[in-house]
Amino acid sequence: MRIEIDGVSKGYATDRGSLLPVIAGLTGEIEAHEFVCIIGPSGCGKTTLLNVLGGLQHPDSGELRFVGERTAAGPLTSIVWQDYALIPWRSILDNVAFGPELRHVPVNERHNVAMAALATMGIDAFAHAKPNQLSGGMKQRAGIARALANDPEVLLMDEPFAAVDAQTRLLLQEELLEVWSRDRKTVIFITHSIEEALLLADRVLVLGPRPTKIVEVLPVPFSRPRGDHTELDRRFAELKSHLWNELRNATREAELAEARSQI
Amino acid sequence: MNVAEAKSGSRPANMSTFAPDQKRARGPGRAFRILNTGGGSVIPVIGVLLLWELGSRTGIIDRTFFPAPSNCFRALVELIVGGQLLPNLLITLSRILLGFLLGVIPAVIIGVTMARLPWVKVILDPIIAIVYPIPVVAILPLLLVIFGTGGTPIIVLAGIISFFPSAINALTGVLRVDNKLILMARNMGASDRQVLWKIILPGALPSIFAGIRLSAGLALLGAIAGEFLAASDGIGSMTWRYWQIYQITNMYATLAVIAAMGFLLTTATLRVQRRFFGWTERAA
Repeated sequence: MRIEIDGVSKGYATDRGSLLPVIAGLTGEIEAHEFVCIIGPSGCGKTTLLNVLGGLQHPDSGELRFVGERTAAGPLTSIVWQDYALIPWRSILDNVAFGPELRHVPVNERHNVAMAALATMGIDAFAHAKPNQLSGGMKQRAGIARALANDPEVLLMDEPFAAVDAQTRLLLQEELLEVWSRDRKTVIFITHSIEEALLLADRVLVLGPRPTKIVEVLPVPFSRPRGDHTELDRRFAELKSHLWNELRNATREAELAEARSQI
Repeated sequence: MNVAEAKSGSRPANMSTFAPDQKRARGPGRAFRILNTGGGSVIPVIGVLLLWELGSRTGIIDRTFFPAPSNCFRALVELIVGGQLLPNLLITLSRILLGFLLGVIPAVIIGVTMARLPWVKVILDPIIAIVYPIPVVAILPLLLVIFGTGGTPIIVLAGIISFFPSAINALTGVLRVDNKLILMARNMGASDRQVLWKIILPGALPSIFAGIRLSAGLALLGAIAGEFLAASDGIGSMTWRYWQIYQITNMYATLAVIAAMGFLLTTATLRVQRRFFGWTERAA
């Protein structure tokens, strides 16, 4: 499904009673089957945007539209969380089967769905482990498997690889690209890493400092399938440098604004 | 394949080389380990009883107040055979159980409701804050006025005294459930009911159960204290009576029964906790 973000604003009430705007009139579009990365300076409101997209918060003004025919069995969105958000008392299998369970799918059937998703992520051997027995990378594979088993229209990924070590991160990026290439679900992927955005995305949306809106839309020209060879492309370094120049000022502004608000 | 199996599978190779040393380091062998089950070693307990027995028989300690454990045990057997003990034990157990249920069931419901509905918490917080510090045994005379004599005031006392830990643990348990899990469930399409039953209650269960454990111990305390002061039957009233008529061996015999109830309650509930809520220990 195509997502239209139409002038969405969202703010928080501060302790002093005033409204702190986080997102201000953000407008943008995400096409069906598109892989979009959102990048922006720290504290610019990426997580708030994700919560709005995930239906966890309503915009104060503006509108969020999912346009087109429903093709998936599950809900509109499923979030893959940075800190996994796996249920600690459940096995990996029952964590991954959680979405179908909420829709009252019978236990055998939902376990089959979950096992298939675990096999897709290559961790079906750990179906009966508990989350705390697994490494960060394994947990996030389970987190992705859970989102896949939930069969949403759109995958929302909130810095999913930020908490794993650098090499595992490379592995997970490759696995995600491979899994995504099979059915090309729409993905909105929030990240801090410029390289990650360039490696994964069809388009990169650059957010400005708080109150945030989209300051640039960058189409990523590299052909798929992508991998470690993608970074060897001459344009990769150019785009990376371009994005960093874009972010550098915004990051500095965000830091200054943060410092001012503390004084 | 299972991860736990995979881990244990790699262990025996190393174990065999270390096994002989470990055995020597353990000192006392099998006999010790058989005794060393359940709630820790029983050796020190037996030691104290032996010293007590010796001291009492040799007259080093005053045998009027500390009769030999063997005599107390004989008194216990006589109370059982004579038919006084078991009916009173059943009465006490039923009072503990009824008081426990009377306290714990509303406590868990109220605790969870307080955590979920802010206005309920606003109303009940100050009430609990005022009532909780009152030593509950002090309200026994009031309960006697309201409920008369007999078993009811004792059950109510056990109920009130066991209410608080369960209510407070249910409240804090629910409040401490990882908010990320609630957001996750909502995003995946869970209804309010599903969030409550699949995330909040299971997540709070270890804390709720810890509160229930405390409540069980307090229900025992409340029932025995109530029987000391205001009953003509039950184990507590037997203990009190034997003290008053100076049958010290009988008093010790009934005290031992009370102690055994407390011990069984503590160890049994601890086992349940380890069995079902092990994930909280590993997660911490």
